[in-house]
Amino acid sequence: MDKSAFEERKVVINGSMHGSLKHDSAHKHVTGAADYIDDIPEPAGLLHGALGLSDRAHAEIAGIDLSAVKAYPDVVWVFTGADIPGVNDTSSNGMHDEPLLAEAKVVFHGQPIFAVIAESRDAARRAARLAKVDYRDLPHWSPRPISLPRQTRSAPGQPSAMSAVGVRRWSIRTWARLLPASR
Amino acid sequence: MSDSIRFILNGEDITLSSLRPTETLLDFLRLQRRLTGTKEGCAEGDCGACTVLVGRLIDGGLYYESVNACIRFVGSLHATHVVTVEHLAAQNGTLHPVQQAMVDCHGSQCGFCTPGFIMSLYGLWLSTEKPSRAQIEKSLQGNLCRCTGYEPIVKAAEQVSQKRPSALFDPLEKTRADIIARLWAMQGGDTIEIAEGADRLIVPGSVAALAQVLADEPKATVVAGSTDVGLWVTKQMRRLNPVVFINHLTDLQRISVEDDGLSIGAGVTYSRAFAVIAEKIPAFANLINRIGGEQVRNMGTIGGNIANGSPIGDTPPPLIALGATVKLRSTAGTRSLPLEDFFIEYGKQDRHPGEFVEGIFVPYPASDAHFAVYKISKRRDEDISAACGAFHLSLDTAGNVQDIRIAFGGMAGTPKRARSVEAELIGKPWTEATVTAARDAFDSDYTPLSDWRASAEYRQLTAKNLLIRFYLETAGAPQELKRFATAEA
Repeated sequence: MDKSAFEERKVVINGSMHGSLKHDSAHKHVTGAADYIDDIPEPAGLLHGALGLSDRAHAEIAGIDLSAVKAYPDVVWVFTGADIPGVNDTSSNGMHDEPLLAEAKVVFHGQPIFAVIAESRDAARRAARLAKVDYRDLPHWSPRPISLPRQTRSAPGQPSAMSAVGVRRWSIRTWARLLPASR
Repeated sequence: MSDSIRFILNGEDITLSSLRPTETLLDFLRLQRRLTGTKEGCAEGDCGACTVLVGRLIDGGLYYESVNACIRFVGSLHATHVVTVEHLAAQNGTLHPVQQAMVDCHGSQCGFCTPGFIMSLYGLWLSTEKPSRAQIEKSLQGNLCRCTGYEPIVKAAEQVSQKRPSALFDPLEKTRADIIARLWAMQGGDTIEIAEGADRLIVPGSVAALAQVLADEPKATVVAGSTDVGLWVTKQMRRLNPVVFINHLTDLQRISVEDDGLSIGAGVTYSRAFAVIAEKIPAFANLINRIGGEQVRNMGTIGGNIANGSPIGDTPPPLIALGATVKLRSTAGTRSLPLEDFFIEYGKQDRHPGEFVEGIFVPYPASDAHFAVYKISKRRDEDISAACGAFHLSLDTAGNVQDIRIAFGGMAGTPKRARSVEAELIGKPWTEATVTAARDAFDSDYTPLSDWRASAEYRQLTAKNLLIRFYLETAGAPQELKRFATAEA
């Protein structure tokens, strides 16, 4: 095979592939001109929200007293998971283990429990600190690292905030069996 | 008496006669001035998304330093020049070389942290002509990026230092003389007092005026760098009243190199103290490189680290081990006491009503003494110590321990000496057998707490092991472990 034959086969890609392209918004990022949600001017009368967070890593919520939150000046509304119409769940993987606002149990420090809506950011933030949450602490430590191959390993005797997640690695042959026979 | 704070914001003169004492620079920029290029990330001086430059006059020169706008109070900005990311590009939109380099090197992805990176890199660009990799990394310690990755950002810093354009292009170099004149005109010996409802802020015109203010207001919160007090406001929503700002008092910012030690004013920042400490007490300087990020070191003061009284402040252990004294001042005069006696118990210091920390005196370690400081934290940079230990050892000619001072933070309610361990060691030969036998004496010196930084057991074991480490480092030929480039910065 001579050299010209080789060169003829060289594929030339037209367009932006293979080029070092600048990020579309880079010039805005570096000048501070890129607007994020918090940078957009607020419409008049916009209400502000703040979240009430768990200060326990793992606990049952025995009771919540929100009266001081609701009574704080300029607070418009305080809501909990019970006020959510529909299913109180934001889990993206179908595990149904991630409520938008924790109700019976918190599983991490900083987990949102309630939300305050107020006429100012300051009022919402200050009010959110006034809840009295009655916790019953649960033991907390993480499950052992998950081992990838074959069987999942449980952590006997260790309570955990979430149940162990199993990840199974399949062989190529197993995949091949599951794929449609022809393309 | 004056009733307004005056400073320059980018090009504009600002005069504020109505101001809450705990109004942060970040809220002022974003909410009042609509300068939203400066971002709110963590609101605790950690992530650096809010980085701006603050220029101030020091001995007639104008110096710009990166700071965290989120924990900087507007009341502390009198006679300064605040520079935000919006000020860098030319009027016609031409990017500043620092900005262009970040674009060219693909230094942004989501872009949220980018303005803060730009300002840190710009601060470095202004101060350092050909920064080393270590200096670049040090300047970026206080900026967290979670999607771009640091490599392109460091590349941008390297690229921009290669082709340095003429000073005429730079917005701050162009205006330097003008800004100096304007800041000079704003300075003055008047005490500023601003009342906002029931809350007041006071900016004393001199150290003598500060003493008088605190005599009248012994319960006032004294604020120097606000690297801790800032969090009382942004994280704990505390109301402070009155607030007395002292960061502008140049008489508290003197460092004098004396024959037997360093005299450091209470208002000297970590950054300003760094060069002289690096020369005189290198082991201490390595610790300073690990306090906060560059922004925090540009604001925070050693005096504040002491006056604050925190059991996990990083400078008290080395200072106590070195035998530092603290100088307190009030209208009644001044007094000095050993730093270790200043800390009485958790939350309580030997500071009389109306007194303030005026400065510290740090004796040099003897040329044949061994001195080491170890900071144990989860992250190497920008973290609060789980424990911080300092060891200062003098041996006699026979190789016996003549004197040893060991001080730890994070092991008790105050920074505290390990007197039982010291007693076990003094007079004995400095050998592995001696230190191994002495290590259990830490159990009678300290009863540490468990918290989310470390368990009590971990802390206790760490203290014991650091004694062994100190022994090993002093035995045999001196060696220094340099694990990261920042150790050289």
